Amino acid sequence: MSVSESTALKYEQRDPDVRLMLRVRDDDAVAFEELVLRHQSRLITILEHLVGSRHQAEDLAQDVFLRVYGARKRYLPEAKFSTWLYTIANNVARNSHRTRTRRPEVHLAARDSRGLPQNPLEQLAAASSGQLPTRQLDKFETVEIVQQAVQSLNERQRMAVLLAKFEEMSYSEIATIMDMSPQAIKSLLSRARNKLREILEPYLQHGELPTREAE
Amino acid sequence: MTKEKKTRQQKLQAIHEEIVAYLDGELDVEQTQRVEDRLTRRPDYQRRFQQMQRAWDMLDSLPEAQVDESFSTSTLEMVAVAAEEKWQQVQTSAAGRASRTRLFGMGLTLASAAAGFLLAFCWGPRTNDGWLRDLPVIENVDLYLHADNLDFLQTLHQEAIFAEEEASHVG
Repeated sequence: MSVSESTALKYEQRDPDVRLMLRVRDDDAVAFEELVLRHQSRLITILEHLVGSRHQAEDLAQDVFLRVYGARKRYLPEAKFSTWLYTIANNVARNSHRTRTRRPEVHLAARDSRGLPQNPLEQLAAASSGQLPTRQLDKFETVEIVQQAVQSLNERQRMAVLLAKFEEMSYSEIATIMDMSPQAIKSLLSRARNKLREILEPYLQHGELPTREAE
Repeated sequence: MTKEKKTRQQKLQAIHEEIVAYLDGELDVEQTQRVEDRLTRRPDYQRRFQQMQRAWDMLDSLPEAQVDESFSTSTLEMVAVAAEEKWQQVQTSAAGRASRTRLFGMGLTLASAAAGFLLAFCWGPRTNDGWLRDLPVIENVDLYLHADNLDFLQTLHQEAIFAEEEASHVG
């Protein structure tokens, strides 16, 4: 891929991470460590909300950094560093998702011996409807509800939402990362956020959860 | 799905796209003005806008991952190990290539030597040819020394005057 010198210079001047990555390209291990430290937290956050597991998110994040280092000699500053990083992350996550789909995990029954629902959404719904002894509408509950709402999105919607929310990326940047057009990202985000609204609005309005998990 | 319902859904989808793009700052000046105008004039549009915004704001409650030092340490170790393995592969590959190059060089030298020998053997000047051709003369040089004239000896040979003696010598 050819990148004009002016484009490369522009990103080198504007993005400190690009400057670090150019040092990594020249085998500067300290620069690589700095990049890892700068991005690990945000990357793991996005991957954790994407795959729904902290342990898996850390594995994927390590894979991403490994690939970044492996591709250092081919690195060209044709975009912001984070765009390049999350393009790799998106590919790693998609590959992982495909592998998981081929080897589906076995889920235990949804209810335990006491007859209480194990699904967090069902639990919260039960709590909201007074089936559980104490109803705790606290921060933890809100987090659980939002996490479940995010997990109800499909993988592409989830990735686009997380990049827009946590990385504050433009449609154009998300489009580059996900190999889609900005218009397609606009539609994707619109559908995703409307779905979030449908799930979260009853909770926001009445403090109650929908009784079924949104698909 | 009826055509009317489909049209209504498409219209709603367009409204959602517009609101989301507005919230994301993805609209140009004219489109932004249009949304703000609708927000002031249409309560249903304003309600939907607020719902979208509230749902989006709720995502702020999602926790950011707290990463301890062990993650970066193990990541850097993994990268170092991978780089070391890659380096070893390159070294092994280079050594194999050097070994193959050496063997190829030796083979080429041997082949060149053999080809040179064959060429010299087939087409090169043969110093022994003259000696071989003159061998009968060399063997009988003492006899030939008695005859002073070669032409005279050839005449005798052609006329087969001493043919019987020659045959008895040969036999």
